[in-house]
Amino acid sequence: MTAPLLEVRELGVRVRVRATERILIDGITFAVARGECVGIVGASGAGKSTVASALIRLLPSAATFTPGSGVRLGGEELLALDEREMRSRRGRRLAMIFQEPLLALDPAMPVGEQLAETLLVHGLATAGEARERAIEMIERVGIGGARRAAERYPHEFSGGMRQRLVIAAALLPGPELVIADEPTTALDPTIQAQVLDLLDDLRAASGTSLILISHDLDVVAERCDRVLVMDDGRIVESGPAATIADAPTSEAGARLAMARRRLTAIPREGPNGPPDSLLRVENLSVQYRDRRRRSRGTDVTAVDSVSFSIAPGESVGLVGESGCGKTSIALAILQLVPAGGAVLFGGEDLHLLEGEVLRRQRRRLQMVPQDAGASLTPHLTAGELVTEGFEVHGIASGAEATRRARALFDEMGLPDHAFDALPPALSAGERQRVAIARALSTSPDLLVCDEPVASLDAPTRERLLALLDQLRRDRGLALLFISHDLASVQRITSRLLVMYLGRIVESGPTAAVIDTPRMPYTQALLSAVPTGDRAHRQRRIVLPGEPPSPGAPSSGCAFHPRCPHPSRDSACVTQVPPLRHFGPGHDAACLKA
Amino acid sequence: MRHEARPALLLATALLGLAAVGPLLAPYGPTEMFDMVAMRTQPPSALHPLGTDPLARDVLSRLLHGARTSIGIAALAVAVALSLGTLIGMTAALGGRVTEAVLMRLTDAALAFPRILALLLLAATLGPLPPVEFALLIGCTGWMNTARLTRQETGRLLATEHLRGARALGVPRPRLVRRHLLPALLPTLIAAGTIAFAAAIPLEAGLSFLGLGVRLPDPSWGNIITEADGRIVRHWWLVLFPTIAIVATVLSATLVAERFAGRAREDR
Repeated sequence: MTAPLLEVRELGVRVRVRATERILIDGITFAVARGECVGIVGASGAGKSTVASALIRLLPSAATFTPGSGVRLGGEELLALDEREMRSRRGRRLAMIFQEPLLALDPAMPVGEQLAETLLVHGLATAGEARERAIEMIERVGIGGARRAAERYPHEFSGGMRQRLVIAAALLPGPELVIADEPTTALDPTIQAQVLDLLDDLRAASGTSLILISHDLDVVAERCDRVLVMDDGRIVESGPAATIADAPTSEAGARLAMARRRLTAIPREGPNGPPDSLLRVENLSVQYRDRRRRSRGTDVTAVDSVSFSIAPGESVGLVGESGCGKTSIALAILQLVPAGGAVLFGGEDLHLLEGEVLRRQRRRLQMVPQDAGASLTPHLTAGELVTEGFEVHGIASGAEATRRARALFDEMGLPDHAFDALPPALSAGERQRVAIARALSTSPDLLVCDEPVASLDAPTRERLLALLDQLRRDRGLALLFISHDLASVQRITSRLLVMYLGRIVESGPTAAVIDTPRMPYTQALLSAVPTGDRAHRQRRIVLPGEPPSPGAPSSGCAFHPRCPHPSRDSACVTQVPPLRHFGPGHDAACLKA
Repeated sequence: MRHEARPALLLATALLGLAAVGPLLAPYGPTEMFDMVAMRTQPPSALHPLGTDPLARDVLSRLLHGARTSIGIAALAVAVALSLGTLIGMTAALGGRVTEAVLMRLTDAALAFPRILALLLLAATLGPLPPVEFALLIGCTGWMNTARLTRQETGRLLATEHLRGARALGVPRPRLVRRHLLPALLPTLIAAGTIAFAAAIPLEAGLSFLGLGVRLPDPSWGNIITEADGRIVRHWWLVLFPTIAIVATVLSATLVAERFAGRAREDR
């Protein structure tokens, strides 16, 4: 057997903050063979990213390597190089792909030039050659019209396209090793699948080794030969991906395996009794003025005549890619953005209410916003923010309000010290729970949750979902649960609405929609959920292209430009498909399903 | 803390302290006259460390008593300017499109008019004013920058998630302003206030120097200089010491302002 490409020996990293020294990486040893794909998984704070920074020697200045650490790349000891020598290895021999592509690209330079620069700084090509090879690479990462695209600036590309460009920049100088740190965490599931497949294919074609870092065991397991599990700066488990996913031996491995998202539709009873609706949304439309085009007066339709209803105690899921209008629906229901149509809540049209009357209705209608942390006023303590809900609706005041707020903190599993803490001092998960406690303080009849669990780790997510489900059963709380995480949605909802470009394209009982999705878009969304199964990866429907912009809608079925359905034809281009019945309560807007 | 802020804060505290207890430290009364023949316009000596003025009064005592007048007038003027500016800026940001347009164009117009000219005209027209009214006058011509800053900052805060969150919870308007908006505006207001203070000190001094502000025989930093009677080289002690007091006050206010402005930026 030939020597491995990368040999990491007793790698340790310490950081000195004032007088105390903290160990970030505690003597880890592993190797990566040529052409091999190795995954590093672990919860946040396990030290995954520090490993990545250590390998390319871009650690913060306060951090130092422990004596005896070794990183050999192709037989060369990287830790022995001086900064100038190291600089000539970065990019050329080992490249890095970061989570946030916008930070990795220079906003003031056309992307073609940036790509060409990666060759020029290493003296790998002349200016003319570098240009041509950059354009060729842009084409290889699946960006159409490469020659024109090369002239554009990073902000003109969507998140998925930017990450493709970062991949192109990383692979262009032909490195032997690529380190990808959470390369798709910031992307939609449908785009995540696309980008990871691209990275994998290009890597396999050029024989490059890959270290794929993720908190998601499934993402790593689908693509890597070997997986290392990290916890607290150490490698606690390593082995073939499937073994770790199915039979983890370490505690950290078990936690990650538990966090895997499984799509198993559990039939869930809907609300009993008469089908009175608590919330009825009729022809709801939300338009935003496109600032750049103000002169032409074009409005962007984010939500286009959407109608649905929610019964008391019912839990309804709303799913779709980012930009499809999910959040706009939430804000329109809450009367936080101007909207057309009607929002009937308890028989009254909220659009027609204003001032004090509307304010009093808000008691019954609460929201957990997408960025829950930012929704908390930073100069008020968590306790004050939750107590406020009781006070402004005259539910309780003084000591009674404090007592009830503390009870809500307990219910959310928040620690005691959180009550008197300012939001910035709390963790993201804790802030999320404070926001939920705040929304629940008014004892609402309907809770609109916009991506409530996206930022939570697995155990907290599970507990929160269980809690919401219990509130629904005990207090008859109705839920509108907005998420792109289908696994969470199916855990908690009895009915599912699928949105595409501002319209509802499929709706029905959650179990029915997940088991027998009718609309090709729903099928693609479901198949984009990573399962950790390599065989599934082969069957996955990978949608071509990006979620389209609502600013430039296409004719007919909005989905037709990306539709993978085999019998798609000209009718899809010209006709707007009506909702058709496919079962009890199960409708889909597709001509071919 | 920024390194240049510490001495500035000390200086500012010392000056405020001086305004509070200065008169107690003064060796003589502010209008106490000594031997008109022997003691008029004398340079600094052991008996009168900062010299005497043409009416044979002790300059140190006048400077210390004047500190209370000058700093007090500037402080009151700032309070007036901040209140007016905050009120107008917030009303513009919270009100409708028309309210906002009217108030902000009014602010622009007021800002376009040279402040010193406005003050000269007003002071000349209104005649001699007691110190409190004089302070109100300075304040009334200094609210525009605060109004602009407040409107801008309120607008930014209104678009933040946490104000939307408070609205979604059903927090009534007055409480929203009091609890969620005003405390967040505070760093901006403090920064605006110190800048306004740094502007008010020389205005008071200038107008008093011209005889349009604090009237003799009451001392202020500006009208002590007047007593030099134009002979600023020969009667240098009547010019130098009040000038040092004015410059030190403005400088420390400016440095403190910078610090608060920096902190307001960091808070975002």
